[in-house]
Amino acid sequence: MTRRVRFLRADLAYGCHFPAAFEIPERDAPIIVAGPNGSGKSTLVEALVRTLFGFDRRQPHERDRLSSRVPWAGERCRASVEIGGADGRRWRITRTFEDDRVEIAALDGDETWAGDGNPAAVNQEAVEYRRRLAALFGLSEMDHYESTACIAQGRLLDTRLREELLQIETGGYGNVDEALVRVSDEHRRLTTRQIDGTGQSRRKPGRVEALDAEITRLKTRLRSAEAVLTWRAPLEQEVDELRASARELDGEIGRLEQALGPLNGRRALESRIETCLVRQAAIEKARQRLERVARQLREVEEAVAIPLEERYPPDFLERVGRIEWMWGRQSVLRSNRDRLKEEGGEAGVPRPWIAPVVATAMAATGAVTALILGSIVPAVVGAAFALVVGSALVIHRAGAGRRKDVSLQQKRAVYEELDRLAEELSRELEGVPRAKTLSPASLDERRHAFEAQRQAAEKVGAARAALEEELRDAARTLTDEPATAGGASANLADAAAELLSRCAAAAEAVRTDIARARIEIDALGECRLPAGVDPVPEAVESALAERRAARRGVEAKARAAETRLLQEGTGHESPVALRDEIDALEADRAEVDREARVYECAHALIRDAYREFREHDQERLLGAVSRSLRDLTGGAIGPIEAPGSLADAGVRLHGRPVPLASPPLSYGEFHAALLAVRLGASDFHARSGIRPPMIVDEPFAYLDLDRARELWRLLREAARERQVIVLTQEALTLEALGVAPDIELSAALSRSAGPADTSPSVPGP
Amino acid sequence: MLRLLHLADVHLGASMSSFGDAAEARRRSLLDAFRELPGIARREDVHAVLIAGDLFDRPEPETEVRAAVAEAFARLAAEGRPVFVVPGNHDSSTLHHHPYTEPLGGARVFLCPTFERHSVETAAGPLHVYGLAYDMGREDAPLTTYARADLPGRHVVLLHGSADFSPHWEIGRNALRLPLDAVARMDCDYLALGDYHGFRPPARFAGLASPAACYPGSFAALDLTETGPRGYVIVELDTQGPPRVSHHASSVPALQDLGDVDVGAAADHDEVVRRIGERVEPGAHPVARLVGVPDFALDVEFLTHRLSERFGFARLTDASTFYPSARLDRIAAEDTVAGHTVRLARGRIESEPDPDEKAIAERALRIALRALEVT
Repeated sequence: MTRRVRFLRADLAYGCHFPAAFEIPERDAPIIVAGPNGSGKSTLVEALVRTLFGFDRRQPHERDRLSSRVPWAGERCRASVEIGGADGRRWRITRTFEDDRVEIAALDGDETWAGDGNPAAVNQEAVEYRRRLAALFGLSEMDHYESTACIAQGRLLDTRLREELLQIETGGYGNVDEALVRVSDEHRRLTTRQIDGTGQSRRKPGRVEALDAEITRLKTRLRSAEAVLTWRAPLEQEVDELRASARELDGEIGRLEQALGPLNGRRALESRIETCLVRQAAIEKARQRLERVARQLREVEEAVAIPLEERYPPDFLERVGRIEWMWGRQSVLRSNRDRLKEEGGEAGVPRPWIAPVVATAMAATGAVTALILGSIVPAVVGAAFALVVGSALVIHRAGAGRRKDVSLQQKRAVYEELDRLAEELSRELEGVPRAKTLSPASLDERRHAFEAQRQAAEKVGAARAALEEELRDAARTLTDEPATAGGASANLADAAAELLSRCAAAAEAVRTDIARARIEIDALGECRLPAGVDPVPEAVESALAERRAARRGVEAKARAAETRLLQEGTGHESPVALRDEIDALEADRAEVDREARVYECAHALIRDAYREFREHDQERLLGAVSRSLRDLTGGAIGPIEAPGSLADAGVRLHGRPVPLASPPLSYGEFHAALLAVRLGASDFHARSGIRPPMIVDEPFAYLDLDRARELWRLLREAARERQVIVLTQEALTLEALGVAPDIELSAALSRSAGPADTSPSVPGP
Repeated sequence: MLRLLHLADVHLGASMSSFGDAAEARRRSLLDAFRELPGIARREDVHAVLIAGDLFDRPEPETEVRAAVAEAFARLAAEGRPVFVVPGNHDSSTLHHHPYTEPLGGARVFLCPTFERHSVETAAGPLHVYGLAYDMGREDAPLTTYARADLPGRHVVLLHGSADFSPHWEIGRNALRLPLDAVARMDCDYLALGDYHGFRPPARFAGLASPAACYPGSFAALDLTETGPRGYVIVELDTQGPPRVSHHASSVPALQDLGDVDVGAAADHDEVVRRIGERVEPGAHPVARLVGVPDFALDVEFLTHRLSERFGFARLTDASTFYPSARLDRIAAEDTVAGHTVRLARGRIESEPDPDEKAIAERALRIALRALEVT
C-alpha cells in the first residue's frame, strides 16, 4: 500500500515569524501545534505548503504575498521540508522562493534532483518537479491540497463537493501507479511492445526482441545453409532422378524376375501339354493301328484257318527233299538188306563144337582103333588126323565166321541205317499232316498243299509281324522303350488287348496330365510386366538383360553424381544444428513472450481493477463524507446525495433534502458540515492511496464541545492512516479534550529576527 | 570379452542457453567431464571408444574445445584404446568447415558417405568398426552400402541417425533416417547409435530383435527437457549371447526431475525451499513443477533464486493456483484496488476456457498483487 506522507522537519527562512526549524514527531495521532493568535501557526502551514507548491507569480496577489514573506532579517526567502514520502523514503525538498528553484534530495541515498519549481511554468523541469512531487506527496497542485486535506484558516468556507475532488483521484492511488510502473518495468525488460497500447516504445530491445533478432539472424543463417543445399539442388535432382530411375528399373527388374518364373513355368506346362498332346495323338494312333492290325490278323487268320493237324510244317519242302532221299536210301538199304539176308542163308558158319567133336571123334576113333588094334599108330594117326581135321575145321570155321561177321556187319549197318532213317523219317514226318499217307506219289499233291499252306502262313505271318510291329510300336509309344513283341502267336491277341488297355489307360493319364497342367497354368495367373514386354520368357529375359544393363549404367551415373555432390559439400553450417538452436530460442522466446503477456495481463488487470475501483469514486466520496457528517453531527445531517453531478449534491437535514451549498444550518452546524466534507474527502483520497498530511487550522472554531470531541475522535481515526496536524489557539478546548500540544508557538517567537536555532519546544508525544 | 565405451551427442561447445546464467558454468562442466574420458576408459577397462556423432555442437568449435578433445583422444590412443568417431548432423563432415579436417588425436573418423571399415586388433580379439559420414543431402541410401566383411572378430556399426522415435526423424533431408527394417537387415554384433538424446538400450527397440542397437543418450543434459542421468554406456560383447549394455552417468550435474511439488501445505517460501531441498540428490540440479493452492503469494523467481544459490541451478515451473486461496478471499472482500484486482482476476480466470490463458491470468494476478505490494 502507498505509505502515508509525513512532514518530518521544516527549516524555514520564511516571513516575519521565522527562521526556525521544526521537528515534527512521527506517530499515529494528531500532532497539535498550538499558539496564540499571531504566533505564526498559519504562516507555518503556509510555509510548509508553499515550500512544496511555490507561488504563482503571474497572479498579483501571489506576488504580493511572496514579497511579504521575505524574512525581515534580509535573508533570502527559503525553506526546506523533510518528508516521509509515499514511496517510503525520506526526502528533503528545498525551495528558494525568489527564483523558484527547488531541490529534491533523498535523505536515505544519493539521489538529488534540482530544477524549476515554478507552479505556473510548463517547461520540462517544472513538469518533472510536479511529477516527482506527485510521486512523493500524492498531489502536485496546491489547489488540490488546499481543497481537500489542507484546511487553512478561513478556507473552510470554500469547501465544495466538486468534480475536482474526483479528478484529484485520477492522479491518486500512488501504489497503483507504482504497481503499473513496476509491471511496466518488468515488461519493458522483456519486450519493447506496448504494454497498454499507449506511449512510445523504447528503443532498447527487450528479451523478446533480442530473441527475435537472434532467431531472425539464425533463420538467415539457416536460409544460407539451406541455400547451399539449393545450389546443390540440380545435382541432387540429378541424383534423385537417377535414384528414381534406378528404383524404377529395380522395380521393373523385380517384376521381370518375378514374372520369369511363372512364365517359364507356363512355358513348361504348355510344353508339357504339347508333349502330352503328342503323346496322346501317338497313343491314339498306336491304338488305332493296333486295333486295325489286330483286326487284320484276325481276318487273315480266320481266312486261312487250317486245322492244326493239317498244317504243314514250314520246312515241309526241305523235309520232303530229305524224305525223298531217305526213301531212296531206304530202298537201297532194303535191297542190300535183302541181298545180305539172302547171302547170309548160304554161307552158314559151322558150329564151333563141330571141329573138336570131329577131332575128338577121329581121335577117339584112332584111340579105339589103336586099342583095338592095339597099336598106337591108329591112335596117333587118328589123333593126327583128328588134329588136322579139327584144325581144318577150325580154320574153316574161322573163315566162315569171318565171312559171316562181314555179312552180319553189313546187315547190321544196313539195319542200323534203316533204323536211323526210319527214325529220321519219322522225325521228318512229325507234324506233317497225314504223314502216313505221304508217299512219293502224293508228294506233288502234298507240295501243292504245303505251298497253299505256306502262302496262307505267310499272310498270317505278315499279319502277325505287322501286329507284332504294331505291338512294339505301341509298347514303345507307351513306355518310350523298345518293347518285346507279343511272343507266341497265341498271345498276340492278348498282348494286343493288353496294350490296347494300356493305351486307354495311358490316354486317360495324358488327359489328366493335360488337365492338371491347364489348372496349373490358370493358377499362375497374369504376369504384371513392364509395358512393351511380351509375356514370353524370351522377351522377358531379353528385357531383363536390357534393364540390368541400364540399371548398371544408372548406378554408375548416380555414383558419379553423388561423388560430385559430396565434393560440393553442404555449406558452412549444419541446418540441423541451426534448427535445433532456433527451436531452443523459439521455445525460450515463447516463454519470454508468455511472460511478457503475463505482465501485460497483470498491467491490464491492475488498470481494469483500478478503473473499476474508480467507477465507484463518487459513491465512495459521498459515502465517506456522509460518514463524517453522521459522526460529526450525531446523525442530524446527512447523508449527502448527488443523483447527478457532485455540483448538484444535496444533504438531508432531518430527513429532508436541502442544498449543500446553502443549507438552513447554524454557522456552527455549517462549519461542522464543511469539516465533515473535508474529512470525508480526505478519507476518500486516503483510500485511493493519496495520503498527504492533513492540516487543519483552527478546526474547533465555532464548534461546541461535543462536536469538538467528535471532531477530535475523527481526527484521531484519520491520524491512523495519515499524518494529521492540527493548529489551534484554543487552549481551553485542548484542555477539555485532554490533549497537550506537540509544538507550541509563542507570541515571543513571532516576528523575531533571531537565528534559526530558536527551535520551539517540542514536547514528546 | 570385448568391452566398448559408447557415447554420443556430447555437443561440446553447446550454448546451454536454457540454463540462463548457469550456461557458461555448464559448458565448462561439460568440457571438464569430457576430459575425464581417458580416466573412464581406464577405469572401465574398455578396449575401444565409440563416439556416435555430434561430438561438437557446431562445425567450427572453439580452439580450446577442439584441443581438449584432441588431447583426450591422444591419451586414449596412447593407452591402446582406439577411438572411432562418426560426425553428426551438428558437426557434419560434409560442411565446408568441420572439426575433422585435421587429425583429432589419432581418432579414426569416418569421413566417407558410404560405409567403410576400420579394423583393429584388441586384447579381446579383432574389432571391425563400420561407419559412415552421411551427407545430409542424402537419406537412407547409404544404409544399403553396408556389407559385413567375412573376417573373424566382432563387427560393430557406428551411426548417427534417427530411428522413427527420434525427434529428428521428421526433419527429412538433414537427418539420416534409420528405418528399423533397414537396420534389422544389417548383419553386425552391435549397432552403436547416436542422435536421440534419451538412453535407449537394445531391449527397448521394439520390433528389432537383431542386431542389438543402442542409443546412449546425450552425454549431459543440454536443455531442461533432458532430465535424469546422462552419460555413456559400457558394452560387453561376448562370443556368445547378446551384448550387455550398462548406462553410467557423466560427471556433469544431472537435472533431477522432482515432478510435482505441492506447495499448498507450505506456509512460506522457506518451507518450499526446504521441502524441495530434502528431495534433491547430491550434485543434481532440481527441476520441479509447483502445484497446489498456496496461501501465500508464491514467487517462483524468488524460489528459483534461492534454490539456484543452494544447488547451482534450479528450474521451477509454476503450476500452482493461488487465485482460489483463502488469503485472496480476504483481499477480495476489501474495497481496494487490490480487492478489485482479485475479484476481476478471479472472474477472468474462471471464465477462461483455455488452460494456457488461464495460467497466464493466474500468474498475472500474482504479479499484479506483488506490484501492489500485497504480501
